[in-house]
Amino acid sequence: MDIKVNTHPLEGNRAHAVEVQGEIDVYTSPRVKETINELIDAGHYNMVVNLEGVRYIDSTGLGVLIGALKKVREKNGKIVLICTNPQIKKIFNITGLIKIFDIYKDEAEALGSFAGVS
Amino acid sequence: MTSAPVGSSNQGARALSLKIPGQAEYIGIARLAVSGLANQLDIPYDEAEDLKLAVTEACSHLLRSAASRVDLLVECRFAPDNLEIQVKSAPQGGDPLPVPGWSAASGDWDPELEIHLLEALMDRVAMETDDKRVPWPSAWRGDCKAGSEP
Repeated sequence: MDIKVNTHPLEGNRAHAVEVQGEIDVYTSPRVKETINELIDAGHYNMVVNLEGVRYIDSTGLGVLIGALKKVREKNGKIVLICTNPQIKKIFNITGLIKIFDIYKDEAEALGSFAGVS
Repeated sequence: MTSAPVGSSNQGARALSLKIPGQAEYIGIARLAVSGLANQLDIPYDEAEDLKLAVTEACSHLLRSAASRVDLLVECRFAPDNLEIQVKSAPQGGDPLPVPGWSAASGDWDPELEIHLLEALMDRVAMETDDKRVPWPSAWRGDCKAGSEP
């Protein structure tokens, strides 16, 4: 039940990608939270969290994303998601988080939502 | 993990039990076991995924609300057309083990979100507590219809 989390700056430094692979649950979500917090502490408030490699997410994982979104919004930043897995999108639908997070199908589309951000 | 026929009044039903240590790293094992059982019962993929999530939520909930160190018991009773899953915490005494990376003050845990997911994913959900002083359930029971709809 391992998880991999990688980050890298996206085109023009408009946002940072957070790529997650594995299952996000009560055991693994601290790793995701730690990585996102490191970016925030470094002053990066715009993020694209890529969930394409995520096979599973539970309410703890959702809580980490919600907590991170609150933090970056305080700094006028935003977090958008990449997700095409219907099972995971269903969880965002059930919980109503589909209205809170903008979800895109790929990185280019997600990055487009940061147009005007330098 | 054990499997056995259920009492004679419940025609054709069987039961499978799994006991795991009450530690976050073992919840994935419960998820895998339920996934395997769902596969054995020919439960459609989407419903099996719902079951995995529901069991994970129940285990996480019981673990974080435990007042002492616990084991988690996952009991599945299944017949050709029904699957009932009960998740219970069994107190082992001593202080609860910390859930790594999580604290009550972290704000990452939303019990209402857990319960909302459980109720949305399962056909029927019940929560029980053995001790009314504890505001959290010590057991969670959910069921879903097994197999494909006709």
